Amino acid sequence: MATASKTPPQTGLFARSRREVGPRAASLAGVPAGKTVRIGSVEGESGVAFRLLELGFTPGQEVTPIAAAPFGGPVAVALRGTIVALRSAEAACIRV
Amino acid sequence: MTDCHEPGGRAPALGRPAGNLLIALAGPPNSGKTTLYNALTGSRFRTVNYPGATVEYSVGDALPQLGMAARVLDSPGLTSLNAHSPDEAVTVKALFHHPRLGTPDIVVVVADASQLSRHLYLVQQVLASGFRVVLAVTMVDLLREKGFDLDATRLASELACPVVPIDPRSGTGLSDLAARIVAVAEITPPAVPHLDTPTAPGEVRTLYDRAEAIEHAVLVPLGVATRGPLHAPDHRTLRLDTWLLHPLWGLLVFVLTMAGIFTAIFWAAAPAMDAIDSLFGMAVGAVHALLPGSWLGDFLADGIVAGIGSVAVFLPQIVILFLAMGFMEDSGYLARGAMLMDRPLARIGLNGRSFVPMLSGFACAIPAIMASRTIPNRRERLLTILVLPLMNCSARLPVFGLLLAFITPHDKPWLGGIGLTLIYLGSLVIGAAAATVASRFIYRQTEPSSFMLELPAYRRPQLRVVLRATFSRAFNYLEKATVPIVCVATALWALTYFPMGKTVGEDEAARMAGSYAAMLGHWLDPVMQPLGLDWRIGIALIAAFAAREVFVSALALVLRVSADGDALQGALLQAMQGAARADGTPLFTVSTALGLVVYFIVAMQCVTTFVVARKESGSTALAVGQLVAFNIVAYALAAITVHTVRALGIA
Repeated sequence: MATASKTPPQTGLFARSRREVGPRAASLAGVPAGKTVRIGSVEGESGVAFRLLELGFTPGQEVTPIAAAPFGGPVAVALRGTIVALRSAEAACIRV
Repeated sequence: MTDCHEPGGRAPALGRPAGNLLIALAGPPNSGKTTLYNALTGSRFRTVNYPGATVEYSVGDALPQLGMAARVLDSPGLTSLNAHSPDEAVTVKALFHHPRLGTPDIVVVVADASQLSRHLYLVQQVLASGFRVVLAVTMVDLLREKGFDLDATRLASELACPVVPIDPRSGTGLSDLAARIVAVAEITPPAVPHLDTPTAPGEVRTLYDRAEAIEHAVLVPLGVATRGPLHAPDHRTLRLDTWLLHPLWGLLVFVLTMAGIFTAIFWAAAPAMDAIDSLFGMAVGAVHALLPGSWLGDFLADGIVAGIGSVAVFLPQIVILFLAMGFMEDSGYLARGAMLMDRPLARIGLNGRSFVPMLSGFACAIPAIMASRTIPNRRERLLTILVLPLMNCSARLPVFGLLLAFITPHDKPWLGGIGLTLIYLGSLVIGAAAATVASRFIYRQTEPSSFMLELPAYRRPQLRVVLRATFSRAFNYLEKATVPIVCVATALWALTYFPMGKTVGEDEAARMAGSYAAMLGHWLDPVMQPLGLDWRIGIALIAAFAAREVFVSALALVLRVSADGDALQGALLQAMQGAARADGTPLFTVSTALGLVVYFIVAMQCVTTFVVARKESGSTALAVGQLVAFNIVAYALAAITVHTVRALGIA
């Protein structure tokens, strides 16, 4: 959506299933495929966090993990009309 | 035209004729920038939708029917003017001042309407930096499928710059774009651009907030049922990705694709290779018939024609490899391959972004090394450059083709396919081993490793684009290979023909034994002994340092093969079977041929690769290390192979 205010809030903001409970529960890395969540903040090492912001992972944005590469490889995340692949360590910088 | 900085062209090829505009194309990866470049210039340069594939700049003149006198400059894709990798740094610098062409008069920023907010992030930076900008918006059709239309007038007023919706594939909007470019150049006074990029997280968010507000204002709902929320990617891409990125099926498709490509290289190419082979054999016979009994005839037929023929034979295999890569690039699958390979490559110290350079490395190490500029992490970039010469490049195909044809029995041609597959796997294993060793002991991790890559929407590959790219690459290969082959073939032919020449009549053995090459060769004999070979192969191996494929034509010369109307390869294989060492034992056996295969898998024999690796890595130690270490290891492994195979009871 063009602005954050336009999005209805029922998309699972902070909603957690039992699977997600734990230290990574509130990061994008713990979100199951197909579930749309809203970015809360981007943390972690400043270079990585800055690059994530520049790619469009800004707080308030809706993102949907769509697939993960096998053996713990990168996750593909739908964002702003496109798909971006991130390592799970980088997805963990994105708090949702 | 208001400004022509350069009176008269300095360099005719690259200089800007007075009165011509210099237009730079800028835009995020996969925005359709290179397709626009092709449409504007009618250039033969390829279009790619893998980020950073446009490593080198392409420069071309705008087509006359567009009605603007302009030179157009294409460059690698940019997410932001904040450079993150070496190729981005070069691109940003060149946007402000191209080393040879100067500062562009107009920057045409290309943005994808279906992901406008991301692409407006860059557009705002280019505008803030003070360029004269024309915005070209692509993929409006994709946006309509999502249920929105673009209000281009509103977008132009929000950004205060001209906006032209275009479709470079069909040519829609191109003349409008040209008219706007000319108008801006005439009306807007030029300014000196200055880099203006966000440096703090808050500034990035401000730009994105503005981008979202603009996107919200200019996208008009079409009033039909929309396919999904605006932030969702193209629905066909999503559907395909549920299969192609599936943990099981996705991996299977990937492995089968790779296996299919490398099998096709050996199997599908065979008929075309036979045809080319006979053609050159006939040419050799014709030259001999035209100039009978003269040294000139011998030289032209056995030196030049046979030399070129020995390389041209492998053109079908190279074309298949380039075709496959072209389809993967143009369809958008290549980036998925990078994503699937990130984990395994990270384990050996590389990066998912090393995948595309490594795949290109199977064609040629030189463009592959240049493509490694897209890897942001310096250590991972150096490691990638280090292992690239180990990838089984197309120049080795002639050598392996010949050696495999020698080893495999005539009635079992499928063994050759299996052999080639094993060679490819072997080169990957050795590359992985080299990367692992170097990442443990030489290049330690100093900066955090990262992998962030846009997976572009799938598109139907354009056959015309893929074919054009394939033919230009194949032609490039022939062109590049021909010069060293002709030079080396000339030198080798002279060394093996003189000083005896025609004095010994047609007695090839006597002429060879007394030749300059034989005199030089005695120094090589001790080195070749552990490999079960003799000085003749030593000479062919040295010749291969000019280019690996030269080995085949050099072998034909040192074995004094003359095809005379027969298929070249057939004649060479016969000569290999008949060749004997000084002590009477056969020169080529299964064991010595396997030893040579192993040598060629590992050895770094390409002078151009050495030069490019040194330049791109900025490290002489790396390039010299490659040259020395790979050749020593290759020699040792080859000797071990020969003796192991013999110990197993195979000659």
